[in-house]
Amino acid sequence: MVRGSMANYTTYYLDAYLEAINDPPMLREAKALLAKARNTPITWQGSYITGCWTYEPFDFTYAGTHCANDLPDDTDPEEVTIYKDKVAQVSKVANGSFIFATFNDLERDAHAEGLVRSTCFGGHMTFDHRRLLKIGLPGIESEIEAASLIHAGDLGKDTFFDAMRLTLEAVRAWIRRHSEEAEQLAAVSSGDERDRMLRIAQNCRFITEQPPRTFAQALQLLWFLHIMNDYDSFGRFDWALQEYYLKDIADGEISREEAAVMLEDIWPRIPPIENMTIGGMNSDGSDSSTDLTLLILEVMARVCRPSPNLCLRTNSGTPGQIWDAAVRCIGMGVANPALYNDELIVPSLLELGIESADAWDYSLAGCSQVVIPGRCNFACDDGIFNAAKCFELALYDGIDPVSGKRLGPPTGAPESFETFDDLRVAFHKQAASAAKIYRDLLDKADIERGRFWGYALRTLLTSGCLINGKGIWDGGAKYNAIQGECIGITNAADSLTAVKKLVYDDCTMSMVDLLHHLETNWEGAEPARMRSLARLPKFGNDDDEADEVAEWVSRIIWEEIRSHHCSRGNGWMIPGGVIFVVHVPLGEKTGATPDGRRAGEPLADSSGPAQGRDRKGPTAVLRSVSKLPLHLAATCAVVNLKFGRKSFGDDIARGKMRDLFKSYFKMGGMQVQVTVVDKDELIDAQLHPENHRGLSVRVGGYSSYFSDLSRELQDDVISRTESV
Amino acid sequence: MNGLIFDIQRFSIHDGPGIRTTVFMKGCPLRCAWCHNPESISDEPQIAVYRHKCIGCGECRSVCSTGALADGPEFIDRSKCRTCGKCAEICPNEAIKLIGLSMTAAEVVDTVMRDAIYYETSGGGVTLSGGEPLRQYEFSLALLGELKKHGLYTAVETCGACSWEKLEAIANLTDLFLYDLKMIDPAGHLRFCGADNSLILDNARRLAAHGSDIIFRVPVIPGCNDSPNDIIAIADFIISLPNTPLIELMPYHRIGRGKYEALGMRFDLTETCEPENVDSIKERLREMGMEVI
Repeated sequence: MVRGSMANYTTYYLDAYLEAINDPPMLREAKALLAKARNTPITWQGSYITGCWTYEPFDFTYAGTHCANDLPDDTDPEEVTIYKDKVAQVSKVANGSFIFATFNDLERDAHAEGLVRSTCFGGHMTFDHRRLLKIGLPGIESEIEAASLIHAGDLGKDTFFDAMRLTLEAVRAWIRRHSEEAEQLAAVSSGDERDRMLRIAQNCRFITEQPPRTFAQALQLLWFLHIMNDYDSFGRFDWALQEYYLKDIADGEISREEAAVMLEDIWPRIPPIENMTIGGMNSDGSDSSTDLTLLILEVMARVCRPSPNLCLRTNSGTPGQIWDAAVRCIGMGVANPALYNDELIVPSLLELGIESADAWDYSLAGCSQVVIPGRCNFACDDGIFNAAKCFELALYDGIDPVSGKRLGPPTGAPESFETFDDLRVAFHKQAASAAKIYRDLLDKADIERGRFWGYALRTLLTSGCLINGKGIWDGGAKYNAIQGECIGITNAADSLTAVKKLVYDDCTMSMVDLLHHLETNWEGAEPARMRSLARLPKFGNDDDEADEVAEWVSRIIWEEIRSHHCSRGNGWMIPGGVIFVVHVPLGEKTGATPDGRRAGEPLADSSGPAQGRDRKGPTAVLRSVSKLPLHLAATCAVVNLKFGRKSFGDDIARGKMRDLFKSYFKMGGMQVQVTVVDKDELIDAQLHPENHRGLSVRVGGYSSYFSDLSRELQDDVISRTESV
Repeated sequence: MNGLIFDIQRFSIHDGPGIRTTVFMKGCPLRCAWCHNPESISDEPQIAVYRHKCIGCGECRSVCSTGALADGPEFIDRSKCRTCGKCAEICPNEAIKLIGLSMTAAEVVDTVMRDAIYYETSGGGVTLSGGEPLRQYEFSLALLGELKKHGLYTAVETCGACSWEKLEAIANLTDLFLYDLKMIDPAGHLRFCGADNSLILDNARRLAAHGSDIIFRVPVIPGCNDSPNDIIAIADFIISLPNTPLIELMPYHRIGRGKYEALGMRFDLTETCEPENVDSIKERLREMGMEVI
């Protein structure tokens, strides 16, 4: 997760931070930020929109030791040693791993054995760029002064507001220095180049003093705020800029093509996984997309890189040409944009208690987490809840069969379960207990972060913090929550269904035999394992029996998590199904499961079917997922779909893909993201068919499951991947 | 009344407009040398063995009462097999499959209606294919009637080798025909498809005159029907029809070949039609003023 350029690493931030180590976190970060902004040499980037920023892994989000490992190879070894030493000193107070010291034995075990985890991650955050562009830096300054008057005389608040002033000054200084740099570059250049540099210099100077007026100025300020937010998430990009864009176009200030050139100027500088939201709603619920939305999709297709992580908010008012541009972009194989359904997400936020004026203005952050831009601290990505481990605890009386440690309450020996409902009761108790541990563990991590981290810039720019006179980790934001992802729900559900069929309905296997197979990792029982894998009902095939169990598992886990609150701002615990890469390490911690999964194999990688378990095609997958109570997973329940390139080959094909996604959203779907299958995946499918059972390929007018083809034909398909 | 169905494919996006479900029905009057759905030809259920999926557990042998699997599934003795399907039922990895499931029209409708929202959103519907749907005429008629009651857009893929009366009755419940047209030359048709084509061409003329929407589907098989004379003959025939229906070229691919082996059937064609060839034929047809899909 390297962000920004690691080249030209300087230690201004680090040195200032160490010098201020005894100050409160907010102040020491603000001082460090200012030192960095005033002194770091500028690496010039951009022909129309300038601005670079070196990412400081320890100052905001990531654990401290990352950065030392990420230094460029050609760094002087002596410098590396000095640098690492400084990082180590900072890490003592700023590295997220300090949270482990606060866990009790049960929490430490639950974390270590993969029942519930904190990632020690400070969360993705976005700004409300629309508001910030409207008020500009002077408006932010006024907000600081107004709020400091309210809190005049309050204990410790002087330091807080001093930190805010220094932080704003850091932003101003960094922009001002780019303006000066541009002037110098203009002086030594000529012609068009000189004109461009002078324009950049003017724009930068203007936005340090006034709110932006033109599209170029607005984009320039947004870009500076974005990069100083460590290139995190953009929030609603088109929503923030469209007023300036439409006005400049109407006034003839810029052409559509000139705007595209400005966007293309920043596009290659956007590091991987940076989230950008487009589309969505106006405050009255009507669709908010404009020609700028379309232009962004066109730029995305033209630049054809997998970043930013573009997210398109759709609703029933989303125009056809936006849909078509989005589907064309998806078909280019950059897995962008992911599609979101306003009509499910906005009500899910209202249900939580978010005001309607903020709910319609949601954006995505990080991978796919729903946030209220610039108004919340949702500690995105902090937690992982392993439902498959809960299932194991239900089968083993609360003892983790992999580590032998007790991680849950005693719920009875499985042989004593007379009916499937007895097993359900045990699972529910384990899930409830795990949800409580999850909350406690995440809450402790959250409180600890608040003691050591300030997040000065995010505090400055997040609504609520100034007026409350509190940092963003201190409950200052308007909305507070901890978002906790849930993994392995599909595996738990498929396993429960397998036990139901094998042990209780069909009576083809005793509980004792089943437990034996799990304990021996299905050794010597390959037919039984294959039968579980290939012949028992699985979630994702529009099979009502399997889907009912998945619905139940999702509901109880999501409701149990939601029944708790976090201490920060008495905020919500918001569950979700955003699974980045943890399905692999947590799979390693999970033993063999009755769904035919071997011990240690990865868990499901999304809220959709487990890998390779879907055999009825995408309409069945989306029907199954739409049966889940998705509104409870208000963080976002992600669904991955895979298609060959030919599925997007022409207008007719793309129209059918568009209608597939639209149908899902009509059924109450939440999110869907599409990968276009490439050759590597086909090769992997040949080696590991069990992981790719649902992968269908189409050659010459005939389609077949890849795994059903003979080896020779598979080779043939691989050699002609472009026609899949 | 039951039909014999060998597959119901959801998210079928190449068999008519919108998102569709295709119902594949068993039994075909033709014997095309290149058939890529060999499991569709027989009117009876069949056992298919996919050797590469067999894990050698031998469970199939233990449930087989006729001794057809005495030497293991790879060496199934089809003369002894009574197609009871017990081996397919017990096979843990679907290495043995029973091809052909007896279903009522209501059961088929229940399955296809699961995707109703997709049809509605995309202007899709249900396609009957096969095999030859008219081979199970009574069932197809009943099924189409049920689908029409649900207001669905129906398509039928047919080879046209049936009585006009039956085709006409089906046409009244069908929004679009995907009409397979292999060759115009009667001798060639007899040689490669095992039947005379006068009925097929006659039905095509009548169907076009009847006013049905038709897309003619032409499989392009190297060495069989891809000569300039064959192509021009097909084009001339289609152009001569009222309303000049569309033509869709289906590039041949040997992807169906593994299925012959699975069914214990012989496959004699060896060539593959390269896309370039199909493209050049498309170009020629367009020059003749045809609309080619």
